[in-house]
Amino acid sequence: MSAEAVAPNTNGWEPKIVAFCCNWCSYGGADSAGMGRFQQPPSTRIIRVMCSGRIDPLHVFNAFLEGADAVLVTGCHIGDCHYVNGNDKTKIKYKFLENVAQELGIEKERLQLNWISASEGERFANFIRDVTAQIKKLGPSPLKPAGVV
Amino acid sequence: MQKGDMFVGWSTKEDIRKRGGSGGLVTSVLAAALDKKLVDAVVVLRKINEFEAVPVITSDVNEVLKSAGSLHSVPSNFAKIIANKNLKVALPAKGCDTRGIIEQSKRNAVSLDNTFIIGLNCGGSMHPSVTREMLEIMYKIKPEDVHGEEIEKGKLIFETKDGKEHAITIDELEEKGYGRRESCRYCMIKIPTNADLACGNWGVVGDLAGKATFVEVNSEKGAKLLQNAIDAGYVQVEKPDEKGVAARAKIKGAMEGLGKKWKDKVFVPMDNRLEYFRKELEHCIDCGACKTVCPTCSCGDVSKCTEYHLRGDAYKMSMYHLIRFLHLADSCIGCGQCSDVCPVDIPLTRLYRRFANPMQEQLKYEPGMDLRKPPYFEAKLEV
Amino acid sequence: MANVYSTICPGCNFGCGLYIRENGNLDVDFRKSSPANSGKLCRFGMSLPRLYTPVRSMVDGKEVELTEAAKDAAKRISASKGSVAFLSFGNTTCEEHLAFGKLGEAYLCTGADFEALPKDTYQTISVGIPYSEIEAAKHIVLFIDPYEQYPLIVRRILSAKKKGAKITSVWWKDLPLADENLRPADVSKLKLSGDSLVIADFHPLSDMENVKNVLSLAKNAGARITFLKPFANSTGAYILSKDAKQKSLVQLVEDINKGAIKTLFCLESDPGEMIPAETLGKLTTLIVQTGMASAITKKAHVVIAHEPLYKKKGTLINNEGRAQSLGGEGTRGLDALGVMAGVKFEFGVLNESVKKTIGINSIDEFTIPKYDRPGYAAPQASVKPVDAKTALVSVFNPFMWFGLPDDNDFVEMNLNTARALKLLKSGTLKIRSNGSAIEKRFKIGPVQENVLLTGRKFGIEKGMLTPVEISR
Repeated sequence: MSAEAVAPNTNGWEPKIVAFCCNWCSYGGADSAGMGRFQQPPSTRIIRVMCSGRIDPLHVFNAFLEGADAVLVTGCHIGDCHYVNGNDKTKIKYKFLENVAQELGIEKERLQLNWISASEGERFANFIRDVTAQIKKLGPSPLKPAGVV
Repeated sequence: MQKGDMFVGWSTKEDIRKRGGSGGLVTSVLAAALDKKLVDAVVVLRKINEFEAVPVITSDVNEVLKSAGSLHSVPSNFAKIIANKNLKVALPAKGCDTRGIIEQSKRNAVSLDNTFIIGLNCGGSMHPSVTREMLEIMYKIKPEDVHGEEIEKGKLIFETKDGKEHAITIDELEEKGYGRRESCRYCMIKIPTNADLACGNWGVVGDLAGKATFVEVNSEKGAKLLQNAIDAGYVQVEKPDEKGVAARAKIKGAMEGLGKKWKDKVFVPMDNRLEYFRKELEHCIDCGACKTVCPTCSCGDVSKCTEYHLRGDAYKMSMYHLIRFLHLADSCIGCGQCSDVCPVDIPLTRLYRRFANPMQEQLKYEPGMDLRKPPYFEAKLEV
Repeated sequence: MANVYSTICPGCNFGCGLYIRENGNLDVDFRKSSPANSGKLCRFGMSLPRLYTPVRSMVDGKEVELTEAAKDAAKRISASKGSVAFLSFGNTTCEEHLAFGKLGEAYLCTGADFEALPKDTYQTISVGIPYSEIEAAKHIVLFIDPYEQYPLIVRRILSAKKKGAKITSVWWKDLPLADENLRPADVSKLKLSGDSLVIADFHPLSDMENVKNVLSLAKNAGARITFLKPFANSTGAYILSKDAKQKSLVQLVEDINKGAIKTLFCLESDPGEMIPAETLGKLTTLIVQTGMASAITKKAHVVIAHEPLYKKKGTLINNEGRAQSLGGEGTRGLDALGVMAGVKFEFGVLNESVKKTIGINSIDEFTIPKYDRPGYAAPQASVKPVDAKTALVSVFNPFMWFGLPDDNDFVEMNLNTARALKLLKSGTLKIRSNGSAIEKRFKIGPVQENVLLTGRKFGIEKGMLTPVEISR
């Protein structure tokens, strides 16, 4: 059990992180993270999509507006897409999304892209742990609506 | 005649020469295209008064001959007017009109094969309401007394009915918040090389100054259009003076330099941007005018930005604007129409450009300048 | 090929200029030189193409010619002489309103309750002050929600704010443009001075005690006051009927309810939006003269269909008193009114008479005619406080959406109120009043606690403030 995962969070606030996972790779990664019993904080809400190419930037915006403190876009490694080139499209969309988020003044830690295969359970768990730690440092998202915790 | 040729030309009809600006070449080319059935219709400005004209699609040659000529205070964009109309049409177009039309064609709302674009050099246009106020406050003349206007050597000159000329430098006007619309100040497309023809008075020197139009042929369609007007006897052209060609390039260079300066002045780096955007957008009343008027948007009534936005949502920023920011990051042509029509005066063009400037530079993509697919729709990112 | 009409938006009395482009379907185009709005339009103005739906003349559900419908209407009107009311809120041209005044002399209803107010306030209420004066004001006090009710005034207020004006709002919620937000119950804390400019509104459903109250607040402080109005030509209609006896909407409803009025003639006015359905049901004859189809044209016994407003010829007077010409050529509305009145109304004669009334020689939209701004004595007002725990506040929406879908089907409420009820995010709220109950979406906003704000009619409201019970 890693020290980070059990360290009590100082201000009692637990971030809410929305992770979009593709059915074939990163969702499998999340699954094997659980099967492999890799510790990860309970901050993440996983939304499974068939392909990361399905993740429309508006889904990400909506997650932020509904109160997510961070949004993660994950999918298969480039070249491994179950649908030939879905994640190439993700890359394009993400480039735009990243740019808009940056110009908008959303901290770059709050929006992250990662390619995780179905066997990389540990990588997934580490990713979630890192992001959670970063977000705890940053505090709640400025786009969180009033009344949402 | 072929792509790249340059001419100086004028209308053969005296009354057109008299009424239209710079020898009435554009009016005559439009009339000839209609007369010889090169097109089914043309778009012209129907003049209502010195500060007002309304674009109309017409097949009537007389309407073309009566049309307004160039008006600096009619900042309209023709792209949306011809979109989804399936017309074989010829129209005069500033740089931003042309870019709008090309973007519409990428979205299959306009067929470029059936659209003849007569580009007009443009140093900027003015909002009519601002112009009226400027006349009263800066020039101390009644708007009703204005008879004509022109821009010469960096000065905006109004001629009143009593024959007097009133000149103030554009720099001074813009310093006080009048003059050109903000988007025109930092616009970098002064000569519309993306149109079929590029016409304007820059480069007309010597005896012909003020009596002729300089034309550059940018495409085969452009050559066809101009040749048609010559063959129909509407237009006469001759080779331009070497000095004229150089003068034109010089004006273009100077204008672009000024545009660059404005760009740096308007888009200063900023901290706390989220707060800035929220503050600018807090008065939004959800009218949707910015989308309706946007010459690159072709989604129609049912679109992501409107369908995923509800007035009942208490979000910190509306989905409508976020989606528009994203969609325009690669497509915004900076025409300024959205700022013009915003009922609560949100400087929308400035906001959209904040996203579009870095993105378009990064992707080396200039929307509306050529037929390259918008990067967002590429299968693989090229750059 | 394409017909383009230069016209005025019929949404409210603001006087926004626009073009309507007829090209198979209708499009709006922005008339950027228009003095009232610089071409800018609100949500309603942008949806005008949906609003202008064609209508046909009908008698008892059968399509007929306009003249025939007018003749039939004339017959019905004379048959029920003494029990006919003529209603026009002021959604039509000055010329038509003059003709209408002659036709409807016996029982003329503009909906406005001038009788409840002292005579000397008539002019102040009828003609507002120029928008340029609003922009130049030092202190603006709002008794309206400009965003919801009169959106185009927002940019004028923001412009004043940029020049250093202080904005005070007296409203049920905090407005983003206000520097100081007071609640209506705390109106006694409002500090007015000679530099203040009070912006309120006046419409057929206005609470007259509130109107009197703002009038006397402004009068006692020496502040200027302007009333915004909801109909395209409210100002014109009030100026032109100032010597006529105008019945109020309340009076009309009462007269219909007690059976004194059996036949109602409506000129470009939709009583369905203002008069309860059960009252309308008591009428034996409903005659509607209009230029566009709406819910009421389906109910009417006789429909006299003239051209839509944008095709009409005539004058509209906006809230500043600015006279603006419509860009159309149609005068069929006048023809129909002539058939009913038994005289021929000449447009030219009426137009001259309009110009004479406002004291101008020609219609020039860029010049505002000079109006008398007579002083008035501060009227006595007795505003009753609401003694309900929770109230539904129905904000008067000048935009008659005529059943068109509008995206405001929700109530706005305070976060604490929502928390106390343990409301669920994206859930609904149950609202009960007088035995009827509805369920609505809610939006959390900076609203006064225990107040539900809405710009829409839900059918359970009784006036502007309705005591309600709410639950999850």
